[in-house]
Amino acid sequence: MTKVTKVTKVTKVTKVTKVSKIQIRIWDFIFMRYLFLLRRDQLRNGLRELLKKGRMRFFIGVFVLLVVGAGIFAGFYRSFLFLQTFLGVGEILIDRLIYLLTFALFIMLTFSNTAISFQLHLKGDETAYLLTLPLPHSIVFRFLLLEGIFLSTWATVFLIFPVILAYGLTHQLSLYAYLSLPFFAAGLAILAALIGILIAALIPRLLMLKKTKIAIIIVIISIALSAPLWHKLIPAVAPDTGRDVLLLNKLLDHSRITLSPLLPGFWAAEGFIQAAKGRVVRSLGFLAVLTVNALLAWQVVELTVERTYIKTWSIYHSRRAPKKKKLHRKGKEALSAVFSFLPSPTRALLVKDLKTFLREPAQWLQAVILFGLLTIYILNIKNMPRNVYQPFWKNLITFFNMGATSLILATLTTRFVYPSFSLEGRTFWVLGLTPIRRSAIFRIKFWSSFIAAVVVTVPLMLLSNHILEVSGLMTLITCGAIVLMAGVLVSLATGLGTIFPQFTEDNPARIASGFGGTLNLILSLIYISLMVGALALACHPGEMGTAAGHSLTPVLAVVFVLLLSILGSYLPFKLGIRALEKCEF
Amino acid sequence: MIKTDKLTKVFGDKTAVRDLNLDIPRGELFAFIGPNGAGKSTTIKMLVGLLLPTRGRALIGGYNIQENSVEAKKLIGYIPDFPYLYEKLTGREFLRFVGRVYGMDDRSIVESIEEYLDLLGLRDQADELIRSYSHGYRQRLVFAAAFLHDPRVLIIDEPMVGLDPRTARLIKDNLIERCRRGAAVFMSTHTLAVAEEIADRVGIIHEGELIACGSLGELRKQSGVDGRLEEVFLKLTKEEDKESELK
Repeated sequence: MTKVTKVTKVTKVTKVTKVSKIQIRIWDFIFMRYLFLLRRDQLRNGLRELLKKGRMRFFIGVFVLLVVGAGIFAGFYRSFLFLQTFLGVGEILIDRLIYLLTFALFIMLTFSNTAISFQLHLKGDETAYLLTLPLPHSIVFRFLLLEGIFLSTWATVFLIFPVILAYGLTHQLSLYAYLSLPFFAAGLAILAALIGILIAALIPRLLMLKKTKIAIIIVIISIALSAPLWHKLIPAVAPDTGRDVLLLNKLLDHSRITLSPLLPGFWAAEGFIQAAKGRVVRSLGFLAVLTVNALLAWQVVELTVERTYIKTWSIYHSRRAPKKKKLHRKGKEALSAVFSFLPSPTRALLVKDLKTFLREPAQWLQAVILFGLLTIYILNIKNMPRNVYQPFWKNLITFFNMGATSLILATLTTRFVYPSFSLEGRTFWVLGLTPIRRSAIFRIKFWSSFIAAVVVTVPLMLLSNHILEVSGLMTLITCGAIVLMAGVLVSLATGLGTIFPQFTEDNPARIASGFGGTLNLILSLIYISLMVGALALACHPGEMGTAAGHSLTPVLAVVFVLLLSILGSYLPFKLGIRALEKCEF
Repeated sequence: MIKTDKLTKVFGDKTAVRDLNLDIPRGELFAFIGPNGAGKSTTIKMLVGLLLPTRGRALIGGYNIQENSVEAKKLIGYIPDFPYLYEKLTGREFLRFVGRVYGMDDRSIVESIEEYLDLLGLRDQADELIRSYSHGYRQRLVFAAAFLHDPRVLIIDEPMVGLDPRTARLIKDNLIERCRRGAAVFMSTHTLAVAEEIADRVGIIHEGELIACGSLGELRKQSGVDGRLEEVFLKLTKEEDKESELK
């Protein structure tokens, strides 16, 4: 070997600059300010561009947001007033609703923060750029952490705000209660974000260990496969013949987990409820618990994630793609064989989309976790009091399950289907040059997402119906409805994703939380509310077998549901194809 | 200005860079060449502090990039192969952000921005959003951002991609001028003609190992080829491949 290296022995003495802690703090503040100025400029330019090129689009969006906000407010305001008419019991139910809300909010925020943190801190191109600049790693970390909190929280806050306002107005809250609310909300959001970043930071280290990776996959598959077994193992509660008050007690008992003093959701809810009742000292006590825990979590994050930030980033980007083994090749062949009935270009596009999705565990794990939780909940219905098997409750829970399934589906279509066109990014020209009509590209994306949605949601509805022992007709109606809803939700997400593409953005979380993504989520929520409401109205009297069952209401409701679904799937589908055909890249 | 001491990076079971020892003094333009996947970009990512070495260390202006990353990075102007740009900023806003982060005062930022807008022919596009820039203008902007704080160390991955001949000439002259003023330039490239034209020394990396390093004359002597850098490169890497096969 010809080796002509001119190697000089490197001096062992390296320069170390001594600066005081105060100087470091001042510089940290200055750097953080520069990063915020950067975001301010980006936001201002984006808004200017939107107002210049899509003024109408912008105002329609704002109008829709306001209408939805007003709708949520009106619904909860009337519900709270209604519940208040049940002396004694009403307030208990309202309070439990607040506990449930903060409980669910905390879980959702933790999940979304984990996903967004992983995307922002480890996968984002911007992070790589910022890490090459002379900025302390801690500043890059903190700045992106704050951005993550904002991205994961703002839509939730928008949806929660009208609920709290309705609560406030029906309970004549004091000024202190209103003022305390942002602090409780911030405490909860920050705690969820810190837990989210801790989980996200663990992922690269887990991925590094081959055996751990295999173990995680085995655990997930085992949990999924053993689901029917749990169903058998969960003991059914003995028939309950008690009165409705006893039933109410049991139902409240089933949501008692939300009252666990170990849960952050409880601290926020209890603190706010105490504030609403004018018990300032008790409220401050819960605020202190929330704050102390947030500070403790911050200390943990600072000592672990922040200090090893660049190391974690480096570990994630030092992964070596596994060698394609025989098994992998066989899997690839099997995947192509499944779609062998399709024309070659269509099959190629479909296999590409599937592979891209499956090779991003951070993406599909979210879907698995969300639907996993829903499955566990549905299996747990068996444990509910037997009064649930009375027609009224059976109906109510069936439609509640349908609503919950479609809500999760809406979250997932916004998160995965909506950004799919934008994520084609700079390589979209490859699709543009393929010998396939653009409308066919749209159709492939629609059908693949629709089939996936149906495959996941219909079994869940069948399981729920089986456990609740509902009639065949009801099973047909709910399963038919969930198929319709999957069609509309996927059509909305595909259509709007094509109408509002963001080809320069590579972060799906940012794409989904943008204007089009938010509009998609809101329209999906409106559609789900109308569908579930109309179907519940149509099926309730019919199932009860009362005289009202013979009225025109069910027919009208079904016609309304069909018309709404046809319109909801056709319009975005057509507009999406039109936008794609006009799209320049 | 740039020193590496047994710099090594291992990805899983593959050693991407092995025991790399380099010393690039002030005023030297060093070209780093090698086949695809030889370890050039990994080396650069370790030099700018993005990837942590498995073993060894990298020093920039005497600062260990791992231990004193902020001080070291203040000295660096980095041009990656796939630069990240903020699409919703104008060129001027982006340069202002870069100037601020590098600790320049407002007056110097304005003066420097004006200088590089003129030099790189970006004045007409300066107040347009970056998303509307062509590939060539983006590349010019990246150079402007890297030059803005007058770095003592320039680390460049594929410098001439997307540049028109006039701008390419301008960049080459600018790099030479910077070296004359005492900067050190580390340039990774596949364009051997550029390396041959402007580099003081050339390092050839192959399968993670530095197989040759020296002036063009020294490399010619070692390879026994009295021709262009391209022929020298092909000969040296071919010999290395033969040795690998024999092993």
